[in-house]
Amino acid sequence: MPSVVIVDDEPDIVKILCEYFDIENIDVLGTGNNGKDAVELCAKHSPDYLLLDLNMEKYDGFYTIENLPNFDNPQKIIVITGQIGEEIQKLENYDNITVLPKPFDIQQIVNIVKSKNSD
Amino acid sequence: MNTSQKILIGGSIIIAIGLVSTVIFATLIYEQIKQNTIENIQRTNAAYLSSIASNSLTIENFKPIMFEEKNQIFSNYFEGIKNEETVRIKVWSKNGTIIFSDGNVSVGDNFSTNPRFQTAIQGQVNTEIKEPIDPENISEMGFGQLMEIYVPIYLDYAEPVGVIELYFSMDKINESTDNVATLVYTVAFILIGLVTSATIVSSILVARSSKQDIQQEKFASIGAVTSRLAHDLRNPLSVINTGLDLIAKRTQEKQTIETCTMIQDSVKRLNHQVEDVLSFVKPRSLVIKETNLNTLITRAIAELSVPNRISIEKPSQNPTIFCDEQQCVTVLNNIIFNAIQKLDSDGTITISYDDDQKNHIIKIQDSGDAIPEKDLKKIFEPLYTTKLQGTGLGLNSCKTIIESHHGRIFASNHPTTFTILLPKMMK
Repeated sequence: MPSVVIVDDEPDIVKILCEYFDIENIDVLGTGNNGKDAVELCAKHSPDYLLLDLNMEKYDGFYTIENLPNFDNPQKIIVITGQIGEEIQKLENYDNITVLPKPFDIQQIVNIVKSKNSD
Repeated sequence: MNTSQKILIGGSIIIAIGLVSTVIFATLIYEQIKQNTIENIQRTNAAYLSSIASNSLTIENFKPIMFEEKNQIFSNYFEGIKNEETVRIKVWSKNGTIIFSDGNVSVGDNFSTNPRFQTAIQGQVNTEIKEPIDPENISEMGFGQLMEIYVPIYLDYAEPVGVIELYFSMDKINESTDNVATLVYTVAFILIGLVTSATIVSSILVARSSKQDIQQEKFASIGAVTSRLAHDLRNPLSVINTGLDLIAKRTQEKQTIETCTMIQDSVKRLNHQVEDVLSFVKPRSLVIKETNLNTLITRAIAELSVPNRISIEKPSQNPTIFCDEQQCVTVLNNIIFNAIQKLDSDGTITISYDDDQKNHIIKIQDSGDAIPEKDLKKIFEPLYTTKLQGTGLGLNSCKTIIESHHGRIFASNHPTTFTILLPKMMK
């Protein structure tokens, strides 16, 4: 069963993703609302995917990307963001990061989480 | 009063000040030159007269006796000095008696009270410029300005022994100073001309750029507000969209699923407009990568909901294209979206591909009505829309994107066609 950690400062998004993943049999190991939560939850649970918002107060998504331990097998991240700009375009160069603009297509996220897990 | 009016008035004031000060400056220069010339003439004439007097005259020649003999001596003496400018020569004795006059007028008469003579006999060269309107006698007629110069003659004595009065026409001198004046004024007016045109040109440039600055400032603040607004809109849109997916997944009711799809189409439309505004106020830099036409078209259509009554024909070729994939998808998406909105009944949208040596040529045709001629030129302008619901930014974004690829986009009629030229060599 593929597993995820969801971090977004919009509680409704976290909640609705949890409900959808429940139907799709994706295990939600933990949820948080800032970049520091994301680092701690990934260290604790080692999920297959981290679903990460960028624009959050205090500790944002860039904090998470900088502070996640960079092992041989880096944490796979799906960045879901309403932002656009050069900083976000740069993220697309990382192999372990997929960037999806908001409003996202939930089925696309499900497909990524499920397909990569079956490799 | 707007900025360009202010600049226009400011510019006119500068030009007027420049004009007045140049005229004053040129006049001052002219007067200075004239003054210098007159002083020079006075000095050289005085020096000349004194030096030749010292050489060939004696103190005896300046005694007011034997006027006949003196007439002879001075006539010979002045033969070498006189020229066509010379109007009159007089020789005064020390006590103010006229010893010699070339017109033989007043010889033997005493004018010792003449102030000019008195100044001269005290050792001071002095001159007087006479205007031709008030000639002293008939022989002065026919000349312009006249100069009268009184030169004290010392010979080798400590005090002047007499005075030579030379009266001559200023015509030649004035002619040459007038030539100088013409030159000064010509240069001055050329300068004024240059300064004026430079001021006008720079005013126009400043007016234009300040207009642009104001517009850019406006757009920058609108941009800041809209990009926040857009970001804030995207979270609720995400919740609505995913919520609808969730409802559709949980329910078995066909009607509910259809309603969900309908709402999701609206969300797409809403998002489309947000994208339009965002890409207008916050243009993104290009990320060039390899892609192909099929991917661009497929992605562009995937983001739209195409009604069943409309068919889209894709090109058979699938060339490799180097471009910013996301932005080119936006371009195609915008044009196809417009075509779908325009075709209210059945219709076809045909996408065709061609190329030449330098460009990929992508054409999007629709079977709908022609674009009115008056709109054809304006449709790429920002905020220009013929639709009730449009932002008027979609096609402007397309133009911005294609032009940042160094390509071209234009619209034509019969059939209604949008043509995109994308350079093959993108760096």
